[in-house]
Amino acid sequence: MALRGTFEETEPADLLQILALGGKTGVLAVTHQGRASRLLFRGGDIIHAVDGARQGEEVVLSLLARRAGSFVFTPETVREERTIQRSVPALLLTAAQRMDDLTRANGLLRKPSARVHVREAAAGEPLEGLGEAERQLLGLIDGQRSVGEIVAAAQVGAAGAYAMLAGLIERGIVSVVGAEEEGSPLARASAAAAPVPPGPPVSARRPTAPELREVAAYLRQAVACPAEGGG
Amino acid sequence: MICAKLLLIVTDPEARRRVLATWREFVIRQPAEGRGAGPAAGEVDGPVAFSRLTVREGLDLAVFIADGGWRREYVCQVLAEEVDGWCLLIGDAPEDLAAGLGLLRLIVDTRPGLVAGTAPGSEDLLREVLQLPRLTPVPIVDCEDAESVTMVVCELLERLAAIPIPA
Repeated sequence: MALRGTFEETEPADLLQILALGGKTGVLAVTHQGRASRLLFRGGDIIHAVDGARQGEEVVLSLLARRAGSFVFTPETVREERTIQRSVPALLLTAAQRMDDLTRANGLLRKPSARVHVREAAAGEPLEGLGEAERQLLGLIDGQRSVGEIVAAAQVGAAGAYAMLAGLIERGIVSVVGAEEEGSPLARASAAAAPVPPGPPVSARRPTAPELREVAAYLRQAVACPAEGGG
Repeated sequence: MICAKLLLIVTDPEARRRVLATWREFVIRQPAEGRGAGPAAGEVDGPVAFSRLTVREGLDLAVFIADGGWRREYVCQVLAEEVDGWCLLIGDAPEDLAAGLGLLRLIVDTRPGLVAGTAPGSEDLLREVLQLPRLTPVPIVDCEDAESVTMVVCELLERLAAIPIPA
């Protein structure tokens, strides 16, 4: 039986997870504004994807960013050669990373001191489909210049430069360098806690077994004997 | 300062809110120790909440509470790699089970952890769906009971303590 719906009702990621977890084999056809994409599933894995002239993982990653469109999944035998090797969870993870980058990119307007760099996977690759202005902008991205400096040096105006940067990030060509400045999610979480005890927010070394047991003993005692005068 | 860092991933949004409130209330009730250090809590980026408790001067416990939505899988995986251990708290709704299975596949190799349930009587269901060995203990947590939530944290700490730290 075919499965059909729209991305307004079922998000692309949820749909792909359902098909993957169900170990489905068949063809997922997606249409939006006259464009048609096809994702081929075999045993829950996406083995091939095509959207016009584009093929492979990029088609899946683009699909995951969509917020509109309709789909039909038709169970059928799929004999095509496998061109996508990564699992659906791995593809979801990459899409989430891109979305994370894009979210951060949207904050760049408020943080021109942030830096961007060309992803290793994209460096040295022929960048098909890029316009001349995008190539020029890409040439300014050396990992050292700040976003503010790149935008100032671009020939297309601030709004155009930011839009192009966002597009390059969305396509996975460019990544925001934020980890060193802003810290990992853990460090950011620690930094956001207030008041933070003096000293580094997180330890460099892992606690030892006696320290872990000490924490557990403290918790057991605390929950058995609520603190005096506490809340 | 040494900080034991734990990650609790709660797949059901309502269960997450309850665990968060219960844990925070427990933390806030603890007396400040050391040099003015005390409980601290903050919200970061929506999917992750953070709570820090000073056990004694020089020894803290940090607990991160995250939900299991697919967009947060990235956050959960990054956090799982940074913390000392994780606990995956899963409800018995289909979306919880799907999220739990997906997360388990992502984080199981990063750090030691344990699976717990938030729905009474769901032990067998969780073992079956998550393909856990038949005798794997699956504690069920009462999200509104401080002792219950604290005990699963203690269980995780004890498990971590029993695992040798790689040289």
